[in-house]
Amino acid sequence: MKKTNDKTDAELVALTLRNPDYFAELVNRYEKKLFRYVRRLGALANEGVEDILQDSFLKIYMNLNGFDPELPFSSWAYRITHNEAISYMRKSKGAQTVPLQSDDDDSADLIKILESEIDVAKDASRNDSIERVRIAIRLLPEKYREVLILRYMEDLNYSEISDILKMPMGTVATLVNRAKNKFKEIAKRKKLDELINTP
Amino acid sequence: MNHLSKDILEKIKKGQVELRPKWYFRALRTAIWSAVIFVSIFAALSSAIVIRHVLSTDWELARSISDNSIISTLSLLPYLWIGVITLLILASDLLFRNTNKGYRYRTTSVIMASVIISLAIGTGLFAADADQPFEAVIRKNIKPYEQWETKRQVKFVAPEKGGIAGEVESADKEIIRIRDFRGNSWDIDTKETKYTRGRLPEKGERIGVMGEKTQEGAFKAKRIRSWNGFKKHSASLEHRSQNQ
Repeated sequence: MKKTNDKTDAELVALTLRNPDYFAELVNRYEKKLFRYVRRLGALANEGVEDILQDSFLKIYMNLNGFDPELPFSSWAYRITHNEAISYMRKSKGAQTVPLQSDDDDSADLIKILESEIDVAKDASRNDSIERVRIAIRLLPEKYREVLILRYMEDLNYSEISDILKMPMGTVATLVNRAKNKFKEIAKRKKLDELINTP
Repeated sequence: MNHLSKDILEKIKKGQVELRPKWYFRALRTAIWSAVIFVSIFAALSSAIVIRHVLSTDWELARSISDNSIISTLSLLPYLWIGVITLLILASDLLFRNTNKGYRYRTTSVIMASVIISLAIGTGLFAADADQPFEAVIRKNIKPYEQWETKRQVKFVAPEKGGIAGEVESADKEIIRIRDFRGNSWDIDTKETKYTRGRLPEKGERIGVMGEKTQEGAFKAKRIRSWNGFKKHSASLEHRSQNQ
């Protein structure tokens, strides 16, 4: 018999429907990933992120009977969490935010995009590039920020992003391209850090 | 087990959150798909009505009696129904997007498919005359619709310009008596008319007439066409005068 942590997501969903204790395994599996995702999406303080995460998992549990096994559970979990996060951020506009949390690995792909475009990035230090990435992402419109984070920080493919954001793959591809261009445009500006404080 | 999963399990066990039952999701899916089908049927019926209006309009008569043939042609298009179809197709796209996998298809593809399906089924409904009872119900219950129809029909009553349209009150081989859409009676001279198809118009049938006004209440027909749609009433009477 498989141990709990060897079971697939779909198997755990089926088991949870019989016994809610199995839901703990799903929570443990996705907690860190979704925590990081929400943090990147909204640059919120830990407390806000934890609230969103708890609400998301409760919603996931509530809707388990509606889970379509043809969809990867991870995409479904991301989708519910994404919607909860967006809803929370819209309700609490002006809530305290923190600098976008990301480490070198998270920003690596986005730094590569920058380095291919702007001379500043080649001459600048690694820290400066990371800072530019953080600020540029924060300044992006919501629709571009979310696809860029899903694609380059969460490392998801277009099909997964399509399932999460509930839009056609072609639209995802278009948004990613536009997001990259907008991101480069913002990141190229000299006094980037001043923009963040401009109302 | 970490504190988050512990908190969540506690809430579940206390009954603060419950599983939504399977029937809830089945009912939701059924409701959405039913709405998609319902809206599509209405779009198809509306398409059938547009086809009927376009085919039963005497474009030739309209152009001959108008000052500006392009504007008059455009003004006779059934914009009301075209508007209804547009709204219904947009609604079906919105509903389809909320099905399990509907979001994977581009809006333009869904709309194009809806238009094609509406036209295809609409053509079938038109051929079966299935749109007429539907339109009759609307005409009976929505007064402004009847007024809109009358307004469109009245444009064809222009005897001074050589055209009238109305409902047949009586018909024989030489004279057809009609009441035009403005409520005036006309005796249509069809003495030298040759039937190119079918039969004399029947009492109650609506027809369009091209010709010339001979005197008040009298009209000589060069051409008469049935009004109520292409399929059943395609009789067309050609005037072959001795002078030609």
